[in-house]
Amino acid sequence: MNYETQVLALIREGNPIQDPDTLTVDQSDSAVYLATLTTRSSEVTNLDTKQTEPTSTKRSMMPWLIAAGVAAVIGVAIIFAAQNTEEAPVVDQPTPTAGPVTIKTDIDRSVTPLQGTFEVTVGADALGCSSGTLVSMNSETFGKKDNVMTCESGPNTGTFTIIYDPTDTSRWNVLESSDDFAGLQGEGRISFVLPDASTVEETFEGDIEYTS
Amino acid sequence: MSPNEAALFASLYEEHQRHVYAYCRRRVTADIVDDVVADVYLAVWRRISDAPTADGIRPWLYRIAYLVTSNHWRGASRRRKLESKLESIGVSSGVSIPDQIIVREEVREALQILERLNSNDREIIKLSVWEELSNPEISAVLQIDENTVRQRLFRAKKRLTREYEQRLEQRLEKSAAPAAQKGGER
Repeated sequence: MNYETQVLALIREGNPIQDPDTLTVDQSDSAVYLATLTTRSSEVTNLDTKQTEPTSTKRSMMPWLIAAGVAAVIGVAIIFAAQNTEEAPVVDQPTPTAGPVTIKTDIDRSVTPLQGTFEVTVGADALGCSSGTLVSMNSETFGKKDNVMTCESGPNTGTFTIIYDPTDTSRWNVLESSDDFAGLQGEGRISFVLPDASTVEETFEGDIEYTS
Repeated sequence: MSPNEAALFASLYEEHQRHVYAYCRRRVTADIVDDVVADVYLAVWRRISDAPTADGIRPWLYRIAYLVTSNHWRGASRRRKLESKLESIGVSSGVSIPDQIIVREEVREALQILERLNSNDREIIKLSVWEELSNPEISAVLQIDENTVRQRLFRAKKRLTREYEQRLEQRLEKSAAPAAQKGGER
């Protein structure tokens, strides 16, 4: 027997589960198991939210204080300038082109392809869209999903596509975009809850930017 | 979820649960395997519309299990680094010692060698030897083409064998040294 055969035989012998068919695992009804999973996913997401929120608040405290200070100085300067000028200055508001976003979806799994709505709860100004509809379909990349998002409320019109791997710790990024969303890039993390067997609510958190 | 998808989920759960459990148990410790299996079936539920026909079902399930256990290991790796840092400053992490399977010394040594391989080599060996998958099935699980599977498997076996051979030589040297010493004393 050569070394390769020997070591492979030893590894085979060290297989922790030699024959899965002899395993005694909890064979509860699949519907019961699915119900347990959906409850579990909600609990896990809630726990994650509770754990991460205080950290992000602490981390973001200093930039916010600085930003608030700068905003206060600019505000005072604008008021002072306005009081000393007969005509109020016309200030062009720059269009935000980057920033953090949170997009929440509500998808109906009882239809094919999966369809739903989305709402931009953080960063609607940066994205140029506050809500819309979506179609979720299998991506050309194995195991991934494409959410084609069509904006229906906000200054921008058009679509952008988010690609992601539908495991609860995976990342998302903008795959492609059109019309007013041309040049949109972004990425972040995805989490989801399963309120019931025919609905999934996803949360895409991350950062976006428009590149020329 | 449509009635068809519900029926498909039920069959995936009832027919393959043992194999999914075994796959996960071969890669994670017994205390967390139920949670990992639950994560796998959660992902299965989310991807139920992607499920292939009967022939490709098990590799597809293993693919999902592979992704979930890989995610788990990335998290566990971060935890181990933290625990190591805590221990270095004298703080106990409070984590229980992972369960050890009682096996004979030669097997334990072979498993240690396996664990020392890089993650790609280790996984391909496990899929081949423990899950007994064919090269096309391994190709479906790892999403690499069959030629690459063949090459990687060949290389992984070579590395495994080389390491095993070195260990045997070291053991022989160790056992020879005291004998030589005794001979010299006479």
